[in-house]
Amino acid sequence: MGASLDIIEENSFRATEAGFEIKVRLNWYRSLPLSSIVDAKLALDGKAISTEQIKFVYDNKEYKIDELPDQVDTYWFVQDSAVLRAEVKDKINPGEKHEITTVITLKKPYIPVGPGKFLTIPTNYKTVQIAV
Amino acid sequence: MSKENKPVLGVTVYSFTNEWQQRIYDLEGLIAKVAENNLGPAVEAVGFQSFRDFPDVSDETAKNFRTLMDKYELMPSCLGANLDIGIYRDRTMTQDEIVAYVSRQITSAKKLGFPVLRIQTFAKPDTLERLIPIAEKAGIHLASELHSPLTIDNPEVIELLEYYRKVQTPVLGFIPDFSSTMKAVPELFWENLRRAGAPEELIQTAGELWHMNISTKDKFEELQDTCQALNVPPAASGQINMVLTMFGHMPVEGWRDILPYVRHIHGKFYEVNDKGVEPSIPYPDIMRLLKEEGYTGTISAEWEGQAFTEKPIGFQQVEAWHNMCNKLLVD
Repeated sequence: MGASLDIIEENSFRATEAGFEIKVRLNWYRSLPLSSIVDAKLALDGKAISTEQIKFVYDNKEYKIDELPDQVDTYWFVQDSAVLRAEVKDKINPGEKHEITTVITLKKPYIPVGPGKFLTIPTNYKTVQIAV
Repeated sequence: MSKENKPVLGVTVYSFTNEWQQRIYDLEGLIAKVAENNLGPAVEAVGFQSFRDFPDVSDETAKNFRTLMDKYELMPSCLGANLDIGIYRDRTMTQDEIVAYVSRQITSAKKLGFPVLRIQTFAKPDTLERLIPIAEKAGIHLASELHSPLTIDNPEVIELLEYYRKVQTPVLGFIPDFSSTMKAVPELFWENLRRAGAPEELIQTAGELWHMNISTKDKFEELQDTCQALNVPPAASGQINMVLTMFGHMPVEGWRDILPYVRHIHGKFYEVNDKGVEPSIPYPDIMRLLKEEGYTGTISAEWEGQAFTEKPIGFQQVEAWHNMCNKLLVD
């Protein structure tokens, strides 16, 4: 539902020691437990970053992507940003312009669509930003 | 207002989802504007949308919310709970876990001052049986939402109604949502589909199918075939089935039998136009039925246009809904 939100926040692209990070939003009308994030992918200038090089940060805690499905007690509040942090080989410098793509797949744990199955929707988002 | 033999109107702040996501308001900002624009007195919220610490609201959250209700002279009507039964990686919640999860939300409803907790219909009688004493002790009504594609002749709903008739407790009931009784597909839905690349021929076929009295399964198949034949882009074909799940067309009369068990109502709408009419939902018929039956409970304006547009027009739309309903209730 809804094409309402910039999933990657504007002007949120930040160069880090190990790579970069961006701020992301929850593409749903209600808060969801972090366990609802079944996958989060990132690509830089069209090149996919491996899952092991990506971390999800919420409320000052850093999670590996494959740890998220077990986080049933932390809810991503609808108005909050989270951070996707990536390690990349080639250093990114402030001032550089890059294309960033993300696909965040959310399971809606209260919308069953079959035995043991729940409504699960990936959201694709692409942006070009200048690193700070 | 309360002495009149009329429903009590209000709003669910879910109607302002676009404004909320776009961080235009905080909770006090929303509540203040609801009061200022006279969109109360009844205020509904989705627990997991409006309260950061849901499902276990703190004493401070509860106190702040009660203070807001008093300050702006509004009354809490219904709190939306969610049964997140798929929260675990590889299994669904056990019944014990469901009971515990709902109990936490009953406690939060009580703390916040909401008399009704909206639950989902997949809480079956055997689960409800265990929730009754908890709800009775807290003085909270548990109401199952009847939302499209559910209709009153769905076996799931019949089972619940028979159970309510048998146990005769005031703490169990229903929340009808007008998405079950629509008379046309909202124009906003078609516009959104066009933007996703749907050809006019698909829109015409889908619109005709929606009105036909054939099984949903046959409609799904017909839609899939049409999408294939017309080479519809995935962005549009992925959304087209929503036409069969989001918008039900049960006759309004269907609500009559369950009204004694209704604890609150979702006044679903998509667009009240500049003529003051919601073309997709038969509000005149619905309001007539509620007046005939003497319904004096609460009804929330529930704008769901945010499913199809990111425009922050919730307040304009809810105001138009109030004008429409107030007129219909006087006539």
